[in-house]
Amino acid sequence: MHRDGRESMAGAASVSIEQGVINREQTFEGLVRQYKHRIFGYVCRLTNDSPDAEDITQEVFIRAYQSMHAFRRDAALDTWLYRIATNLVIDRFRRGKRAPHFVPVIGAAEEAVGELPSTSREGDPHASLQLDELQRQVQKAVHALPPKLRAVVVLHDMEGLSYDEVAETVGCPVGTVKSRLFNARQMLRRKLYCYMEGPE
Amino acid sequence: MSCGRIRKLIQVYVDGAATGPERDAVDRHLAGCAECRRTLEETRQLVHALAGMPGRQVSAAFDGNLAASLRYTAPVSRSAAWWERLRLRLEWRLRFPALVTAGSLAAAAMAAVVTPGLIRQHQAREERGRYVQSVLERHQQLEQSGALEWDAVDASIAVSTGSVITE
Repeated sequence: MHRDGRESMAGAASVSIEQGVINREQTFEGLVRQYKHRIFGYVCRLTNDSPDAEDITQEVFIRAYQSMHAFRRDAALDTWLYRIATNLVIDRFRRGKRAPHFVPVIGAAEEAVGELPSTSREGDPHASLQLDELQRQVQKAVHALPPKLRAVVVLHDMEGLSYDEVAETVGCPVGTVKSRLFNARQMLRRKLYCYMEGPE
Repeated sequence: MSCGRIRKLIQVYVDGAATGPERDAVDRHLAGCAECRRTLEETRQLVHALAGMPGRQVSAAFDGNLAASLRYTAPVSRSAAWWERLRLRLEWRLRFPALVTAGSLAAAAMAAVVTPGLIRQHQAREERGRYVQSVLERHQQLEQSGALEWDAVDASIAVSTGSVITE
């Protein structure tokens, strides 16, 4: 990490410890280190790999730092960060309606899936190609979901949050989360039918 | 249990969140329903594919950029933080201002259409009341003067109201 950055992060950490808001062992730097990739991945999935995804992720941690008082001890840190990220993305999306460069344009999903990191480049090349193709199609289908359904399916099925945690993050009842997840999976199954057909 | 109900339960079944009776109901149904078995298999494969999507990594410059931003950032006060928490809590509930505005406009448009009709109806009712009152007054006057002729009154009412009184 950058030297200045380390000093500044350490300053942030000491503040958080003094205020006793975040766990004493949990420095702010540690929090960033632990969650930055997850939050970035979440933002990428919500924004269809917007070029602003890293800026939004940075903004999430700045907001988290600014509003450490707002963090409740009974809430999980990741849920809190996901919630800030969700609200930021929605704010940006609203602004994006007036600023067209932010809204994913037609064809952006295809362009974005081309940049999908490959997970299996070794071993059976045929299987690897199949997996890459499946992941591209899954990502494309997820990108095509309505934002509310996309948020729920990304949080639950891709980020691994429980129903309760998703409900806490998006601020709606657990029943609504289940219902949105059901609808999202139905839409995904319909789109990915040819890839899902038959037993593995 | 119907297939529609079972397909909703398949979701919690796959997520491992089904209760004992729900699991039993799904198992019983699946034993005799090939369509729902296929739904279960597809859902499992979908969930597996979603969970296996590769993660993303921030760029190497991320930490430095964040630290530089944090250098000029101070934590907000407790009261401001309270407002922030409230905002975060209400964010999703206040997400449909456009819907509220559309509803208000629809109500206003409906009122604009309906109100003149109601006013006209009220005016017509008042006019009829005044007419009936005048006929009654005229009737009383004629009765008091002893000049009441029923045929003339009936004819007058029939002309005024467009109806004919029959015995």
